[in-house]
Amino acid sequence: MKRTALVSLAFVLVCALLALTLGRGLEVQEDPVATLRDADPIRHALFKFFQERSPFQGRVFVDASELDQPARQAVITALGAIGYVQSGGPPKDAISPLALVPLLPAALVEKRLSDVEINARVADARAAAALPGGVALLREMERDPFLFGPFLAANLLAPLTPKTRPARIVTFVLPPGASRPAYAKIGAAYAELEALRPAIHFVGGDFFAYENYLTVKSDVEFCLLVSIPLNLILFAVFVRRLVFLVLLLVGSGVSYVFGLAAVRLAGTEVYALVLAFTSTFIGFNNEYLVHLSGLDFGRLKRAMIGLGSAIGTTLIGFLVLLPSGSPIIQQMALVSLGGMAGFLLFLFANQKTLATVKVRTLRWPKLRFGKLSLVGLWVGSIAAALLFGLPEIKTSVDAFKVPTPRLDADVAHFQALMPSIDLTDVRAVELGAADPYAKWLEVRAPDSFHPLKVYKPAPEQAPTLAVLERDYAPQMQKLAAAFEGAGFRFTFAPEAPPAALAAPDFLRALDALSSPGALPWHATVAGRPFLFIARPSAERAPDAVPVSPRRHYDELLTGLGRELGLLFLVGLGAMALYLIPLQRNFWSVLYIFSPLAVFAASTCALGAAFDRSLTVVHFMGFALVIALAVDYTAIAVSSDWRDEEMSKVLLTGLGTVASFGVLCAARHPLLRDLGFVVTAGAGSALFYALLFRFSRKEPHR
Amino acid sequence: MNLSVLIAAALTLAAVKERYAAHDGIEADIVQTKESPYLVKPLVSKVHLSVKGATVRWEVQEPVASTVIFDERGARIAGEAGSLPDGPKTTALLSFLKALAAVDFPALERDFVLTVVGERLIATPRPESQLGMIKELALEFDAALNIRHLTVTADNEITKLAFTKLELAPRKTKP
Repeated sequence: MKRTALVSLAFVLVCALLALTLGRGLEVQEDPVATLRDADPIRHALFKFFQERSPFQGRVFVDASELDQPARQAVITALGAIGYVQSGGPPKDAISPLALVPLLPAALVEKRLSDVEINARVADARAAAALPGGVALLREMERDPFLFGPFLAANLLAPLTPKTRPARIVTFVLPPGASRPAYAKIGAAYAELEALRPAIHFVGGDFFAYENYLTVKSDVEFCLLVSIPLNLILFAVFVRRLVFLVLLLVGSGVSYVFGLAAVRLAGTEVYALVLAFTSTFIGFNNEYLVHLSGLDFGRLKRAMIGLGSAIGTTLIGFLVLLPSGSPIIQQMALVSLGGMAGFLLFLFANQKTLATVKVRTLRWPKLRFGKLSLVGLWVGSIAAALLFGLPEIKTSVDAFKVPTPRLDADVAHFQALMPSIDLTDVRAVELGAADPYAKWLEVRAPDSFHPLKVYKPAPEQAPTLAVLERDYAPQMQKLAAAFEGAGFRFTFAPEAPPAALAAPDFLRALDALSSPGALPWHATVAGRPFLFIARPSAERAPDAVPVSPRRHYDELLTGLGRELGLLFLVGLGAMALYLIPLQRNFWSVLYIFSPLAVFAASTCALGAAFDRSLTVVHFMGFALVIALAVDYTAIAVSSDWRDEEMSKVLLTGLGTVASFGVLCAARHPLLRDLGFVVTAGAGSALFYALLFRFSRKEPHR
Repeated sequence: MNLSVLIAAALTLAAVKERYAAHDGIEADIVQTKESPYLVKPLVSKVHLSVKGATVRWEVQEPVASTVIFDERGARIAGEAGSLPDGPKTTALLSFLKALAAVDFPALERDFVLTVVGERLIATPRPESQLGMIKELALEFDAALNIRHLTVTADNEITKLAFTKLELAPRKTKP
């Protein structure tokens, strides 16, 4: 024990040194979804550009219409404490709506410029002037004497500017450069706003993130509270040596630091999801510790085949993830490899102590089966997989979202208040040298949306331009005289009748006229011009880049799932190539992988039965199932089901099932799905390895 | 005890709010005088104000008849041809005018800080308000807390309203 303490102390010092030197500058990226980034720099730049201009980015919307003044002040104070300030909306560049008039039908413009309408404008000015504070309205009339602004809104732009009731909605924004507030502060502000229900409605990305954080935190606490006592009971039954726990806990700390050091050597950012993944270390470490317990490191030959199979396959499982295009997957591989190296190094330094730890041996009957049954199992599994087919590989970002009924109800409240254009599938279409309108005509589908929907090309503007050319100047003179006669003193900016409006000028004018925070519909990103179109034709714009968050992340996550699937296939092939010379027997290798064949067939059958797709979360679970299932069968077949080794498999297997089984009760869908996959996969493989003994000779002989 | 002392004693923010909190409607006759560089000469108009439920009618009777209606659909000029400018600031201004005409103090307080200064209730816009063009509202009351005068000071505008009649319809209580 004294030696163990000294070695442990030495490792703690090394780890502290590593933490001090490499830990500096290591930044944690918290949002697992937001940290997904497209490997293509243009696609990433387009998404970033669109999101930074999204009216929902860094904003909190509050419907405070039912709040009294003290409550309103409380909202301002609470949101102010986390850095939000009330937005009045930046003023847009002043632009005369006259520029857009050529897009109106000629008959309407002719009527608007008529003598009758001139009299109506004078009457409007009189009515506005007679309101207290009404001079502000007169100022608007001076800028737009024929009131083309509301006229255009009613007759041209109505499909682009859905009716809103902005007076009811107060917008709070994070000033540029402000850092995201800490969860504790968000929680305090959230509680203050929640206390004002039901008079208040509010939505904001920070509150969804906070709910997510709270759920994960409570899930982790619950899982630790249940799984730690369960594992302690297992240790009490099987080991009963304090030194075992010391080795496991100190060794896991060492593996944590070594894992992070490996990540730090590759970069300065570590994803929070990767940190969460390191919680699985204790399970893997427990497995190595149990299997190396009681062994003489000097005479490892006998146990080497089983241990080499188990450790080697796990190593291969992580190595094949290194070439992944996803930085998160790469980091998971790096942190696992570093952690594994750290723990094994720690155990090697403690080999003498480890040799004294014995695991209690249990005996139980096993059902023998032979080559024929094994072949039958494989044939049946392959047939079932072919029959049911591989489930669709598709991940929705919803897999990462916890249920938030109150916030979801408020989203519905604001959607009803601000009926808006459906922006759930906006895609960036590269313009190249093409005219924006020509491109829009080329890629539009019946339900596509873009402001160019209301645009008319120059030939179609000609009749309206003729009316403007003929009537605008004389009628403007008449209107000015009529205002003067009615006692108004306006100074009109001299304006010539507008010329034909080119599509790019239309889009620029629209930008200037649209409300603050409106989405960009055209932009130059990374030096290349793009149109942002809602639901363009998939056939005519196959290269359009999705920039709506849901589509963007769904595509990235689905791609990640497919990539993981491919990497696992490569990994399984590499494991087979590694195991065949190590086991020196094809049948043993076939047996080792057999629970995976059954698991794959079951996955296909369940996918077909429940019409479920395979998500990236399932693939993350499969990684653990592959690592664990192969270990159980490799140890079993290598030791020929020796009671000592099988007792170790029982101990590690039960520990894994206890740790991942409690995740099935988690509230977070990601943790719950992971729990189900690993518990089902590893549990069934454990059951199979413990109770079914493969014999290369047929049992009946 | 003279009248101004009586008014000063009665005029508290709470009392004014209470006076105008519970009514089923307002009928008022007003003489309005507006001065602005946008007007050749001061505009004097006679106005009838009518508030019924959520609908406010601002009816100018002289010198030229016109009616602006504020209701749940927004603000509009009565008649087919009537048109008002639009935009976020205009919407905020029209909401404010509706609140002012309806003497809706809770709604006014969203954009203004209310304080009692001597015999007058002064409203100044909050820093975050979109109604920065309104510099000050000053209300004067009689001893019964009926509004007598309202002065609106805004960019390029001073408007004075003298209330010649103000009737609040008491809220009907269920038997």
